[in-house]
Amino acid sequence: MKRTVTPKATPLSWDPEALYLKAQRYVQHMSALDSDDWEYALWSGFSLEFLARAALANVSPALLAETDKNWTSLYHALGFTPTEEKFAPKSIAVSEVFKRLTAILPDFTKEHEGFGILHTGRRNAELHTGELAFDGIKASVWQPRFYQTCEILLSSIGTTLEDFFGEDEAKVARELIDAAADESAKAVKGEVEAHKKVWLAKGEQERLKLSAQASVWATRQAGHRVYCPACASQALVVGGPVSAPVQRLSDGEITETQEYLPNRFECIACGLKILGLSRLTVVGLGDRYKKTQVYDAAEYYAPNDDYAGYEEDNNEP
Amino acid sequence: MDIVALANALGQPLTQWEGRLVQDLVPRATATPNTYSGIYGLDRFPFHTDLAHWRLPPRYLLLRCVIGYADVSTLLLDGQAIFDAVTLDILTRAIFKPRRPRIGGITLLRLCEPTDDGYCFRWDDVFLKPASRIGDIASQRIREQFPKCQPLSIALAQASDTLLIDNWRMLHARSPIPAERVDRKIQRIYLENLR
Repeated sequence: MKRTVTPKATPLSWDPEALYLKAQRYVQHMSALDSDDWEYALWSGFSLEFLARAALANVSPALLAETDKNWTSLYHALGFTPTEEKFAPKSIAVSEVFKRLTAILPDFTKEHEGFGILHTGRRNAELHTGELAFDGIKASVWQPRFYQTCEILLSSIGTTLEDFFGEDEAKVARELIDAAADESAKAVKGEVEAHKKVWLAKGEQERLKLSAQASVWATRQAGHRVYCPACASQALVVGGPVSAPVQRLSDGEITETQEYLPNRFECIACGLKILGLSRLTVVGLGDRYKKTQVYDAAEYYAPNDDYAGYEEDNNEP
Repeated sequence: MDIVALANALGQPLTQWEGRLVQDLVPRATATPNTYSGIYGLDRFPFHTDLAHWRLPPRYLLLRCVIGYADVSTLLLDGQAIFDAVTLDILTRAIFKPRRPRIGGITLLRLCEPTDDGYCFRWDDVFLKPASRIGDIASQRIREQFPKCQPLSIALAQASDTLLIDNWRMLHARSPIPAERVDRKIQRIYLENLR
């Protein structure tokens, strides 16, 4: 050929890097919110959509272009300038994006496609209908699959959970993914059923007494109060911190909040004990929880007591 | 040897650049507000990456003195010191945007972008603005670093004195221009790579 047509650079609308950075911007906005907040889930939906589009555009920007009605969006995605009046690039629906990714990426399965369509569908319902699509949905229901889907998309563009979420959040993500993938954890359902049978076999008076004792115990012990999946009494989960503590000063008091990921459960009413995040996730107790402590400002900034482990000073004879 | 011959000998000059291949840098007390001269006049210029608001800033800049003075210097700051203090985890996720649209749109940019042979680090407190939560954090931490850093001061004093700067790693600044030094003249060429 005497002359080869050379397109311009990929326009921003279709550029994989631009789409990736938008996904990352949304995820940073998300991480400023509480993980059990409906808005947190909403922003995760935005982020997932753009990450999926970035992964597809990384295969080819042309795959994102809407070609049902005419060819100008495809022409634009290829780096040319359409002459159409009032041209605005149109891209395919996000459900189609997930469908194409399932066909293209070997690790992106039907399950990931299903989750992607469900999660971004909730986002659509939140934005376009009267439904409160993200309210009341426990984070443990969607977060493990969200992180797993993100990990596969990220891997397809040569990046990692750490690159995208940062080291701290990636660590939590990894724990949640591993916990969800632990098939052996499902055995805990049998243990819960067994405790439920024993519990129901007790007399009503005894059940009421044990439940009342558990309620007092759960109030006094350190941990996060939940309801027992076997007997519905008040019980506790405890775990390790997964975020830096955040302090807020208000009216001379310092409120410190910190997020924890649970790893242990105990109910003293029916005696059920569960160990491990994966097993807790199976019975719906794997959600992150927040520990809040209130300090007097003077107490907070006071120097550490050199004799903290000792009984209180007492100079009485 | 003139600067064009020198640039060709050293590497590949950036030819598809909006201005001329060789730019003459002369202090100006007033200029349009979308330039450093328009904002800072003859005062000190802050540390920055040249063309930090580009999708990929030029890799190297070559400065060659035409009329120079020993008391007007170019200040250099190694980005590695900032990487170490602010951490790569933050810098690679710090999303910024240009303060004005460019080529019909606003592009999101990372402060520190992985490349085939390392990282492209960018900084410009005037023309780049944080566009995400980590961007805000990075902006604050980098500003805190500047007073702690010891910049290298290099004066292009004699005609033909030449300075080659790795624009992806080093931040540079210009010292203030005394009134009697306004005839200082430096030539600049951007290079895509080195031979």
